[in-house]
Amino acid sequence: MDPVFLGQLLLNGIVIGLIYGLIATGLTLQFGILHIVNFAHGEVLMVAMYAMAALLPLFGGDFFVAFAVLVVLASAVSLLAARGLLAALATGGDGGGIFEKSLLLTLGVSIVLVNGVQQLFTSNPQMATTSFGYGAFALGEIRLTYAHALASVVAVVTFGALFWFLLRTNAGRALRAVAQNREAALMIGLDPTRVARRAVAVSLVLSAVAGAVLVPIIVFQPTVGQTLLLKAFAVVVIGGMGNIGGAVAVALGLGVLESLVGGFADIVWQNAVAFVAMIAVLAMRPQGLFAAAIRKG
Amino acid sequence: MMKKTFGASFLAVVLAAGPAMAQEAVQIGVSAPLTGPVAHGGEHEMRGIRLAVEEINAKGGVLGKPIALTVEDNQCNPSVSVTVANKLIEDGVVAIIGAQCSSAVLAAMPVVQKAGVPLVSGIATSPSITEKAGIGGNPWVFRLNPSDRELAVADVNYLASLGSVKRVAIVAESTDYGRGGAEAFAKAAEAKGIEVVSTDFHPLGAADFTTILTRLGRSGAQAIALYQAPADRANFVRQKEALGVKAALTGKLNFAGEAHEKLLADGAFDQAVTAFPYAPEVDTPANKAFVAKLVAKYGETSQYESFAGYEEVYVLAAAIERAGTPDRAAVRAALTKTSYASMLGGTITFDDHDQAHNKAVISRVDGSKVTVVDVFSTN
Repeated sequence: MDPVFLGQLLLNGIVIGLIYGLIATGLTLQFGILHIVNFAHGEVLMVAMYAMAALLPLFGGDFFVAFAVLVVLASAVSLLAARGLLAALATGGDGGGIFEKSLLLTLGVSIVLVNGVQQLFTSNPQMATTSFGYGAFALGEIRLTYAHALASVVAVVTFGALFWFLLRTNAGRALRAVAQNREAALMIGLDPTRVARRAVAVSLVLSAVAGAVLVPIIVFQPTVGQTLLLKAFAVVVIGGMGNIGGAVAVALGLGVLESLVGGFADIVWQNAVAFVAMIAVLAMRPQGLFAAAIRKG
Repeated sequence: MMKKTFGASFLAVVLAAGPAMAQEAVQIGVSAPLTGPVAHGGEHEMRGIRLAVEEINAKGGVLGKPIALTVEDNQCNPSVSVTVANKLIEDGVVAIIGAQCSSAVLAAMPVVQKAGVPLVSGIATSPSITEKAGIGGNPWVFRLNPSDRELAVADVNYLASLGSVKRVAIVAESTDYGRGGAEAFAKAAEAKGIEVVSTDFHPLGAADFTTILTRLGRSGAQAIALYQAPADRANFVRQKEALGVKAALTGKLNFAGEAHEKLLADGAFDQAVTAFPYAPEVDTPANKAFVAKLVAKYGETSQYESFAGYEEVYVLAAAIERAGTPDRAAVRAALTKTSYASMLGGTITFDDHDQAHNKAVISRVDGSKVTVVDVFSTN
């Protein structure tokens, strides 16, 4: 086997996997805390891409400055959006049916965002020029474009920050406590609504970060979030819904597997990998590969 | 009592107005992808369609009545395309313009045949539309643009005349368009002794092409023939440039639209050669005037879809006028006798398969500049 070809495929797969991971962790975080499925999660990424494309020219194409501004903006908007989402889910008062409500609500938000952006910016494919251009690192004969390298570094740093937040800070511990047992968390004085708001905001920022790092790599249009979101759903289901570590691991594995399948078999099969794996997992281990043991009694 | 009288008279007004309103305008249906992965194509087609309708209506319309459009979104999806065709037929349109994507046209063809409604298609390029239309097949479908078979032959002939390309890889979307184009290119290449080293089909709307590009970079292909929707093609070309894959581009390419213009300026299309149904650069007075009108109205140059939308309306309006009645069968019969002077300099007439043989354009790119090599007649 040709080591350069294999190396290039593995490297491509890892980069794609890390990007899947950024989208999937946000999705699984929302499910873990709120037990909701967010169909508008891909549109958060899409809006972030348009925002990034609008910000870049303001800073002379400097990715890092634009990225920093985007993260600040996204954090502010996400906090507001999270407050709005939770308020909308809480209407009706009975407290039940939050899952069904989330499906309809987020699907509606997704439709409004896709068509709203299309109205404002047309559906023409957009390409944002960044300071990276078409440059690439050469590791022997293996190439890693600056844009892919940057996406990987940002993803790894983001995952590091996310795990540090979840494992080492009180806010993170509160988040995990609510995910584990909402009633018990309430009893020890945690406010589940506040925690949920924080979790939703964090997950929206994760999606915005994914959008930002994709800007130098892909050309985009209003529907860009939808195909990526489908993959992220598969990752979340395979990894165990609500399991963040599982989502990251599965996303990486899926990226590498897709790359190898595409490299050595027909490209058509590349897209099927995620969904075949999802069906297999649902049939044999419906709680997901990385689901924690369920404590009984 | 008062209320009841009001209600009854209101109903009477509505009943009286209904048929009268329907007679006031000639209804033309449009099935186009207004959302989804090729929404930009639908948007550009609508620009051409609306411009043509405005011009015709300003001059008094057809049959002394204005044209009214009923526009429906087919999402470039074959099953939605069937629903849209049925809906437009229910709405009583005289004829349908559409459906842009080859898969969407092929899906709508049996529907319009069953209902007896003319379908004018000016964008979809799959060769199987010609095979299924006209003599011995579906007499209700008329195609204005050349198919991918004719374009691929012209493209390959030009490529072969350059002498530098002996090995080609094909990358196409996994749709009727992509598969039809790939097959047509492979056949044309074989006839000219050019070897096809690989053929890859990817889903429509794919964003990541690193795997295909990694393989192609090592395949020894001197050129890559593309049959992709514009957004996918822009992604492919951008990533090809970044990964440093050196093969020249060919197949079905155009260079209009913001993303493609940036790629062109960055040199990502250099050495590209293509046969395409249209190029805004074509130097005929009619095309120059059309491009100027579009730029004035939308601030953007004409794309293939805008050009096609404009000619679709004019060809159909002329047929309705010749038929002398908005009757669907009469319009179909009138369409078969079409003789329309295209902006590209050719004359649109339909053959036995209701396929027109408009001119098409061979372009090449050198140093970020598009040059029209030839505007040739397809046959």
